[in-house]
Parts: sequence; structure tokens; C-alpha cells
Amino acid sequence: MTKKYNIQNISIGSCMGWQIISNSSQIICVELKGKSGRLYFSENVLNNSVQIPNAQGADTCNDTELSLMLTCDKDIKLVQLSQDMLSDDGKLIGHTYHYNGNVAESSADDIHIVITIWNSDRKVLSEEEFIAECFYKYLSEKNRYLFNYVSDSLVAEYYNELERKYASGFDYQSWYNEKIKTAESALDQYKLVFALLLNYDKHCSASNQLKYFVYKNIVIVLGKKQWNEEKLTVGSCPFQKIRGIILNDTELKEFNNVYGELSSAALFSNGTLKAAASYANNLSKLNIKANRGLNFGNIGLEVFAEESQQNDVITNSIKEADSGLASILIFPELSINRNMLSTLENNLNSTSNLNLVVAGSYYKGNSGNAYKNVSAIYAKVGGKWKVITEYSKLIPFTMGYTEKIADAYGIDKKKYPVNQYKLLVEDIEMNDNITLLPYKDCVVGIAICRDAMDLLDSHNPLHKYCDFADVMLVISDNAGDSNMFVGTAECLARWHNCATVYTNSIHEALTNPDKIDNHLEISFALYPYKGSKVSSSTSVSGEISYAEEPFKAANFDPNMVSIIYSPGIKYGTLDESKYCKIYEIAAAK
Amino acid sequence: MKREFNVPIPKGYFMSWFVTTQAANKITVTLKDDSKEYFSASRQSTNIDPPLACSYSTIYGNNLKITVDIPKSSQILGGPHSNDITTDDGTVVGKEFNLCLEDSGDKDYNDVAISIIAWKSKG
Repeated sequence: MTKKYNIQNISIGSCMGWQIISNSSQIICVELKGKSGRLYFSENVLNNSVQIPNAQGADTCNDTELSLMLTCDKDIKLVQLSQDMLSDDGKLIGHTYHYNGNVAESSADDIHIVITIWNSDRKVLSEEEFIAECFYKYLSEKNRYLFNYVSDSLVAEYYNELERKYASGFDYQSWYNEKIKTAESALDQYKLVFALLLNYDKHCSASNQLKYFVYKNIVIVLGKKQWNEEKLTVGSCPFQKIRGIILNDTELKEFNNVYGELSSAALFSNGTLKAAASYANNLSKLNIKANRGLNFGNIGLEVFAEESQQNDVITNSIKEADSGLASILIFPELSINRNMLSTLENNLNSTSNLNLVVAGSYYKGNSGNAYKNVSAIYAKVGGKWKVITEYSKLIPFTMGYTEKIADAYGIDKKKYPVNQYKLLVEDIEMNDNITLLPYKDCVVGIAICRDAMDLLDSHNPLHKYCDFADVMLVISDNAGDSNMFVGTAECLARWHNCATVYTNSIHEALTNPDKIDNHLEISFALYPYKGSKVSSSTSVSGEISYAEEPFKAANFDPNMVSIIYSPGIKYGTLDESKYCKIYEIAAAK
Repeated sequence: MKREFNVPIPKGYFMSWFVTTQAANKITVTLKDDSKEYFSASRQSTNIDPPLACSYSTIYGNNLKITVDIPKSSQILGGPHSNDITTDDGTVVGKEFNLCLEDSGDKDYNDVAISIIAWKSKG
């Protein structure tokens, strides 16, 4: 059956918010349409086992009357409440409408809908603001729909109409306001926004100098990406010259601070990015101690770098990066203690080619409490080096707790008996903030180790960075999880137009109590680029460096390498007498 | 102190009103729009009974307002509440408007109570 309710006397241009919560086991179609015919929302709701609304949204109401329709196979009985929202002196500022009811006379099978409409002095959006709002819709809804835009007829229809009408100064906003009235479903509305953005992207300036603007909590960047890999899945971003990212308050505040410092600086030179990946040295070991007992048989760890090698690691890494004319230098995770940062600062030269240094991270905090695993990020601004921001690791690593591990790291087995504790957990505060470095020619993102490993973990910050960053800098201390980082970097290069520069500690890579994994990646640079072979369609190029190259073992068929890794990738061994590997990454031609 | 409240009930509706006061201060309540004053009454009494004003009228003008004047009070707390009266399909056929105000510090919000109910058509 269908029930219909009228909502009248609306001021055109009012703000509108809505929410639907259903506990019903029946599918109920809830639609809100305007007198003009425009569909505001159409949702098929069914009970959900989580305590969040089934559907919610907000929009601008461009009708003076609306109709709310509920359709269900069974009978619905609803009560409705229509209430004014008044200011303190009784001025009418809006209305709220509540609909609550049961399906088939079952009190547990209910549905609740709230629609609120209020006046707002909304200004006419500039073109930039309108595009930002469209990109916000795209980002918010892209995981909701699955369709192949390259074969979709409605996307083609909208796009081709825009192409026919386009001229310099075209008014996308007016075109959208007309078209939205005839979109027949929420999916069609999404396709309208998608096609509009595709067309806008086509006609957007292909400047190598990026233009950033912030609108509410979305950052939009216009300008050519460094890579133009077009072999994309339907899920990845199809835009080459427009990108956007939604940031939380902390991230946005930090972005604005960093933007003010970096936006006139560049990292690429003559179409090439040179990045130095320091791997410390064979003597730079990590120490582990138990910090405190945690819940459920876990032990919180404190990890710190042994100090005697740090001066050599810092001074030699910088020297090699400078002589290699690198513009970026990254250090392994947990390789520079806080008290050694001054040594790093004193060795950074204002006249060198270096512009960006990601310091080896350290534990920031007090013993007995949770830490932050923090990397200070240095940039050369106006010829002077300064800490521009920092990155705090999001996801803690874990390792098994055994007799052998306890003995190897001197953990008190009387305090932490092996039969009661099963895991060692990096005792860091959880934090959900990414760090972006907005240069005038590229966007750089930072991640530490575990953050960039598990692609299926929704907290993995790469979900946020990808399609927005040109280059990810990933620092790690990894003693045995082979090739997860390479796999992630290949995804970023193939599907998301993003390069990765990664470094590990050579000591950690070669130190494994069981001596199983001596052929672990020490560092690599992978980026989107067609392979070196003429006939290759591969999308990834780059180089991976090892302490001992894994493919020269006895009886290993070297042709197997191209099955394991893309043919565009080279492999090599590191010079263990040095501290850095310099990678050259070519931008798209 | 004096406070004035807009009453969001349009011209042409038929309204009834019910107003009570119970307070040590003298309170004057006035209901009017830009064409007519419907009532203005004062009282200084802690007895709620009888009501201060209770009657009805068609609304003849625009900008219906209610004014509450309590000269000896430094504050008048409380805000207006207004609901639609709708048919089964949501069409608005009436309005209700309520105010419960506090003129001192005991926060019982019963010093002035105003209730107006109005219908689109009186036939």
C-alpha cells in the first residue's frame, strides 16, 4: 500500500535535512518529491541491526510543496507531527515533520522519519564552491554505487550534452539545477554529478602548478597530476585534473598551516623526482621493552633505537642524499630518537637540493602510558629548515609473545608469563589523522609501517590518501612481513595514480631470530608508468632494493620474476657500506 | 521588563485564546495585530483562578503578536512553541501556539501561561 503526506508553504531555497530509521522487517520505499517533479530522495529501507539511521541526508529545497510517499507490501499506520521552529521572540525559522508508525500492526516493526526544513541565508555559490559541493557528493556517495561509467548510457547522455553546450565560462551550476529536476532516482542524481565532474575535468586547465582551495571541510586541487595512468578500475578516481579530500577538523587545521608554508615550493625538477631512502646501517638496532600489561593477554611495548649509530646514520644519510641531488630524504621508522633530532637539524644545509626530510620516528610520551609513534617532518621554507608538521602512526603493530622472543628482548617472564600473555602490541595512542604536504607541483602523503600494510583495514590511511596524493612516503621497521608494502604500492600505482617511496631499516630486515627472511625489501620506489618493454601494457615502474637479491638462489628460474612482479620493475642489491639509496621517479610525459 | 512574541497564525484564521497568570508581580498581557487589539488585561495575584483572558475572534490583520509586560521583573524566561494541526495527509488546517513563562527565580514557568488555538475555517 502507499501512503502520501503533503508538506506545504516552503520557502524556495530553504535548507532541508532528513533521517529515516526502520526497525521493520518489511521493505518500505520512502520517497520525497517536489511539486516541480524533482526527486529529493528515494530510499528502500529495511531493519538494520546497528543503531544508526538507515538513511539520512541534506539538500536545498527548491520547491514550495513536497510530497512524502511510503510504499510497502503490508499496511502501514503512521502518526505525524508537524511543528514550527521559532526563535525566542516567535519568528518562524523553520519546520520539523515527524512520521512514526507500525507495519502490519506489529509494534516492533516500526519506522520513524524526520524531515526538517529551515530558512537559511544561503549565498549563490561561486563556480569553485559549486564544484567543491559536487566533488563532496561524489566522494560521499561513490562507494554506494557500482556501475561502469565507460559503458553507462545516462552518464554518456549527460556528458555529451555538456560537450555540445560547453563554451568558455559555461555555467555548470545552472545546467545542474535544471537537470536535477528530472533525475528519476538517487543513482541518476549521482550519475549527473559524476558526468558533470568528468566534463569539468576535461576542460580544466592542465597547469603543472596546482591550485588549492578549501571549501568547508573539503580540499580541492586543480591542476595536472604527476601521473596520467589511465588503466583504471571503475572504483578508482577517473579525474586527471581535479581531486578532492574530506578532512576532519584536526587534519584541516594542520593542512592550512602547512599549506601556508609549502605551497610555493616544488619537489620535481625537469620532470623527475629524486628521493633518497636511508636504510640506516647494519649496527642500528632497535630495542624493545615491555611498557605495561594490557587487556586480554597483550603486553604493551616501548620500542626505541639504540643511540650509538644515530649520529653516523644522520650525517651520512644527509651527505649521500645531498651528493645524489635528492629533493626528499626519508629515514626508517624509529631510527632517530627525540634527543637526536637536533643533530639532524644541525646537519641540514640551506643550500642543498633537499627540500623535504621525513625524520625517523620516535616514541613521544611517558613510560607506563600510551605513546605516539611520531615522525617530525622537516621542510626548507624561505631557505631555512623547520619542522613543518608531524605524522603520528595510526595503527599499532603486533608480534607474537614466545619464550624465545621474551629472552631475545629481555622481557621479564615472571611479570609477563608466557602462558598468560600471547601478543606484544605497540603501545601507541590510536589516532585517525593523516598528514598532507601540499607542494605547488605535487601532493605528498606520509604513512608509517603498519599503516600501509593491510589494505582491507578500513583505518588504513591509504584509503583516504589514494586518488589525492601524488607521492606516498612510507617509513618502516620491518623484520619479516615480505612484500606486503610492495603489493600496496603496486595498487596505488596501477589504480590510483600514486607513487610510493618506501624505506626499511637494514638491520631490522636482516635480524630475524629464526633467520627465515633474509631477502626482505629494504627500500623501493614504485610509480605509475608504462613498462620499459615496448609491448608491455604494465602500469608500474620502479626499483626494489634488497640486502641480498632473492632471485639468485640456486635453481630459481629468473623468468619467474615477471610472474611475481610487474615487468616494469627492476631489482637490485644495496651497497651496505652506504646509508641511502637514491631513486629517480619520472613524471608522466 | 517587556517581551514581545510573534504569533505565526495568519490573517483569516479563527482563534481562541486562554491566558492565566499567577505571580506576585503585576502582569499585563496584550494580543493584537496591525489591525486590531484583541485583548489587553492586567493582574497582580497569585491565584491562578479565574483566567486572565479567555475568548475568541477571527484574526483580522497581519503580524499577530503577544506582549507580556512585567515592570517589576528583571527577566522573563521561556520561549514559544507552535504546532500545526493537520489532516491525515499532512494538509495544515489549524495552528496551536503556547507559551509558559517565568518571571523570577523559582523556575516553575507558571507565572504566565498562554495558549492560542486557531483554525483555517470557522464554518
